[in-house]
Amino acid sequence: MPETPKHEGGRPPVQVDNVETVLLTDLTARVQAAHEQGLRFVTATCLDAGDDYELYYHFAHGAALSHLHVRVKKGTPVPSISGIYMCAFLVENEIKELFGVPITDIVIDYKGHLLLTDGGPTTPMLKRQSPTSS
Amino acid sequence: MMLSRVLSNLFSRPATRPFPKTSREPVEGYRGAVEFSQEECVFCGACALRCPANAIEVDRPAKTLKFDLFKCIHCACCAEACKRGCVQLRSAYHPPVYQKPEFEFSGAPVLAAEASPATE
Amino acid sequence: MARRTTIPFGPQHPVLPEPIQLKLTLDNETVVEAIPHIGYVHRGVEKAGERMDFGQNVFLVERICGICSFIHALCYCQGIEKLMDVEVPPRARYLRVIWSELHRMQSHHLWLGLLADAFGYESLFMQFWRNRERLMDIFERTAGSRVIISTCAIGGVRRDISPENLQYILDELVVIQKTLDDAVDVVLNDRTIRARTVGKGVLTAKQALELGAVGPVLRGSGVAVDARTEGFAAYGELGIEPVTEEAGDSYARTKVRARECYQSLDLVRRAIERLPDGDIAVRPRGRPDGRTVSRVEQPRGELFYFMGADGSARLDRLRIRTPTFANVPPLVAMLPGCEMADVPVITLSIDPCISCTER
Repeated sequence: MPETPKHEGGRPPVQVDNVETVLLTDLTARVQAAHEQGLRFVTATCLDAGDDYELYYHFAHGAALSHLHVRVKKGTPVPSISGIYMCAFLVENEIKELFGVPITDIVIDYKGHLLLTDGGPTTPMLKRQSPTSS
Repeated sequence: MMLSRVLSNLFSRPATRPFPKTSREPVEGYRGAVEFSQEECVFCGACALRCPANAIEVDRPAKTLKFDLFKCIHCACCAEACKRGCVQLRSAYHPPVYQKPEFEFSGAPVLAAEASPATE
Repeated sequence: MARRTTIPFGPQHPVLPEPIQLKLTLDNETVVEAIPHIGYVHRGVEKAGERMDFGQNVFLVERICGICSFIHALCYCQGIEKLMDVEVPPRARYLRVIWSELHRMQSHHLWLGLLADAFGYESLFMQFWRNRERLMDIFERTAGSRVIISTCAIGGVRRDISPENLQYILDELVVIQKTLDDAVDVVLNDRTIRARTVGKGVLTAKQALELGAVGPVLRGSGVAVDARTEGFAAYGELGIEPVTEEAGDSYARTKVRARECYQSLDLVRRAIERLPDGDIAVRPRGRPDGRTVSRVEQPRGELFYFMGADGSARLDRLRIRTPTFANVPPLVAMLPGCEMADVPVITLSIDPCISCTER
């Protein structure tokens, strides 16, 4: 169990293998290409990076994983990939609700009611909670 | 196959125990009832720091320890963290209660012991 | 004249121990469309994971799912070990396999029992659960707790299994296998069960891949994907062949799970046989830094963690994708075309764990 607070400065931070950073405009085309190669969509991950969102799309081919990484300014609409991979609708709804990423054209859009209810917190996963965030 | 099952079920003992009358002995090493030994505790707060459920509150200057059984997840982190071995998980269940017990003790006896180390 | 009706299935339903609602659009008795609604048991585990110490998180992630708690902890610990560059001692890796496989067996027993219960086979349900009780006793004796066993830690395991207890596990496994033989024989060969599972809820291999199915749902459609083949813990040394069935229906998924019970029996036996001596844990130094993904195979399928850390005591991001989350879209695709009366069994055939799904 960890209890040594000393941080080793020598070792560089670990990075996810097999990541490719793409532009938001290329995202749909790249996901389409992955779909054509027969990759299995694993899930997507959203990170709150201050002024930006970082999105990872994880794909699996057999036992190997590959990832697409997109960095977008907060407020920029992100196209849904659920038109290509139908199974992405759940995770996209979740990201939309918990982080407030404006994902457009999800095939089944729960309009903020997948996990959260009326009167509950809005965008609870953001690092800094602002009363105006919705 | 069916008949043998019927017969074996008719003539064998039930798989369950008639619980309040007979109960099974808890096994060795079961992470059950949490016990603090008040005399040994020096209120270092190591257990409170490691507790994932924040069930233990230690006030170091006031030398008090509060333990909330209903927050406890019986992970035994406190027992691992305690250098003096004064937190232990006994292999027994906590009995059911009508009211949430508040377990708290303060360190008056320890204070006295600490104040006179020179006498050793 | 066909009449369209919409029927809510769940959130409270006899076959579902957990709350999920399926809004079923019916054309007479035939399902046309199913829309899943979750959100009844969202607990915010991912957020809690950012607020707790990375060492304490082990106990948090175990509580995502009571049935496969150890495997959640294993996935989390393996991710953190990658971030901290920790080499886990061999004995700990074998012990992890033993507990993981016991958990898989326990979970499949639970599911097979629930399946029997869904048909009204009360006695068969009891048979499975009685057998499962032996597995729970093994956990109690070896790990100190029955459900959430909390034995996995960053850098190894927290408890060793003594030689007497290893022998005890082997002895119990003999009894478990015998009872399992009887009960599985009924599940796979009974006429009523076959009539209600064969050809119901068919998912083709292509659909399964496209819809991101995982675990027995994917393998039941003939796709040999099992995260254990990656060789985490000691699976690499023990060797593992994914269990697959071709048909893709509820029966195939049942058969995959039943056969996986035997696979787990075999793995536990081989792991005990080859259990090396040595330390059971190393003390990790420093703090996690960087980003990584971690994958393990749960009873329900592939479990996926994404972890981001910035070198502080708390994680920056802990993303958890549980297997049922991935298996809900395949379920939605399986249901159209089936009879209303088959919906409970088909829903059960993905082994839904809704508390996992919502975290």
